Amino acid sequence: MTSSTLTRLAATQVELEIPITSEELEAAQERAFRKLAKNVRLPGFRQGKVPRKVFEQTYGAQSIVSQAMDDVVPEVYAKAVREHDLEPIDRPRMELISDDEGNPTGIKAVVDVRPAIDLGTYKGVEIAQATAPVTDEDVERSLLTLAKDRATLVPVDRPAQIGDVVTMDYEGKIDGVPFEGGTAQGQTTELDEERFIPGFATGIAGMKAGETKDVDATFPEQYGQPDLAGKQAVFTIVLHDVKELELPALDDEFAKSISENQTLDALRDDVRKRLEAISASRARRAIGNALMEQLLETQNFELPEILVEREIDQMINDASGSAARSGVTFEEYLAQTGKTEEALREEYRTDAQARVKGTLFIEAVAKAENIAATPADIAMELESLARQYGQPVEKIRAALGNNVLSLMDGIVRNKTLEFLIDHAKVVEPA
Amino acid sequence: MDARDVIISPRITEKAMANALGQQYTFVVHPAATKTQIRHAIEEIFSVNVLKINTVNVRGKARSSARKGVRSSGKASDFKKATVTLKPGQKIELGGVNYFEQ
Repeated sequence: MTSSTLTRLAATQVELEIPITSEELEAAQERAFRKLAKNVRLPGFRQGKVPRKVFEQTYGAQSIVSQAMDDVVPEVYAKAVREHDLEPIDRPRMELISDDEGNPTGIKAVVDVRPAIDLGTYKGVEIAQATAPVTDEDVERSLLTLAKDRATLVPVDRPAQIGDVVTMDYEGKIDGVPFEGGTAQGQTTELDEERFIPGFATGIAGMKAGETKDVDATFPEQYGQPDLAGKQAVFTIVLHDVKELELPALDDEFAKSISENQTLDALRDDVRKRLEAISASRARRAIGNALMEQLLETQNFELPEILVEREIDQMINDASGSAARSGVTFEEYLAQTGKTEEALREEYRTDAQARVKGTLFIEAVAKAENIAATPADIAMELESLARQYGQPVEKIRAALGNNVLSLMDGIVRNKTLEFLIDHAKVVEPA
Repeated sequence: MDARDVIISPRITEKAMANALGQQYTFVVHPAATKTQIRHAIEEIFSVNVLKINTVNVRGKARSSARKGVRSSGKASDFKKATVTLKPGQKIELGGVNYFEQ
């Protein structure tokens, strides 16, 4: 076979010219004819027994040629891709080359490929990352949260304080007009300044059960509902009762009641371990981010436009999905934020480029290090998905179908990132 | 009878094509045609020399069909079939295509 020629159109795009010899074409036509003839039934012949001449006379020779091309083109294309060691990232745009008589003599394929990435040093990179040790205070704070879950409510006959649990009715008005979501009856809630808009909880503190009072509160500028943000509101509060959170004593009994630990010290150790695990994984993620940032900083390989566009599509998709979850259509969401889809796409572009760059780099490292998703990895991933959705593994596998490929991509990316982190040198920041 | 009335059509079927050495060609001919008439007709139309002719009267098979629940019976047409053997090296082409050649 005469080999194909490669022309680089851009850093991430190549054109392949692949000749198809007449012998190859003839062989392909013979195969194509056999395939086509199988389903043909003409008078005088049993199904599939029609001779080629009769077939061509009836259906035209062109039908065989085009079937042959359909068969042979992907084949020679794949061969050419292997020959030039290309990594296409999209389907090629193909064009037929014909001689003067209209007989095909080859194909021209333009395809986007991965950019060549000079990985540089990616092992043993120094990363400055402060370790945040778990302090005794952290442990005590967690214990307190645990205790709060077990707290009992005791009615008290004194003015409400921050931290108490109160039952109340409230009616909120802006400029004397009630607004949506500003009114509730018999609401039981913990007085916690962070949980409400500024002024609300502090305004209630000091009231006694049975009292009625107007409380001023201001919606923050960055409020979720734009029509309320920054507005002054007056809430008429009717306080029904005040209860105090009575925390259980932090002792061995408490430890036994909430865990399998026998003593408070054991529980403390347990909590500390858990906090340390959380902090370690958080640190690891931070190292990963810092590492990627550092590695990518010096890289400026060309990004295939098609991948960036796809990433943007994905982001738009996500945005519209999250809009749908909060009950608005994508169009309404655009109207609310006052942006056109094009503007949004442009906004996403920088992020999308960064993501594509990261992905390409990671995948290049994976290739260089021969990191692949093993069947065991896939099984593990499927199991964790199964747990997450509460479905049997088999069902998950069936539901995924071909998406298992992207699952594998995800596994490879994670493994590679872990690999990079494992090979990084973490140092304390100076 | 004119030559073109004697020879009705080539008979292109699996069986007709499974001929000996590509020297035998099968045609549907006029039911009343004799071997001599067929010989002359073939030689006139295709400019070949005929060595031998075998003929057979084919009885059409009984056919029945059921349309809208009404069963009706019928019969495929009878015809006369002639297989001619040509002098070695000669061939017959129809519209530039030699169907009988494998």
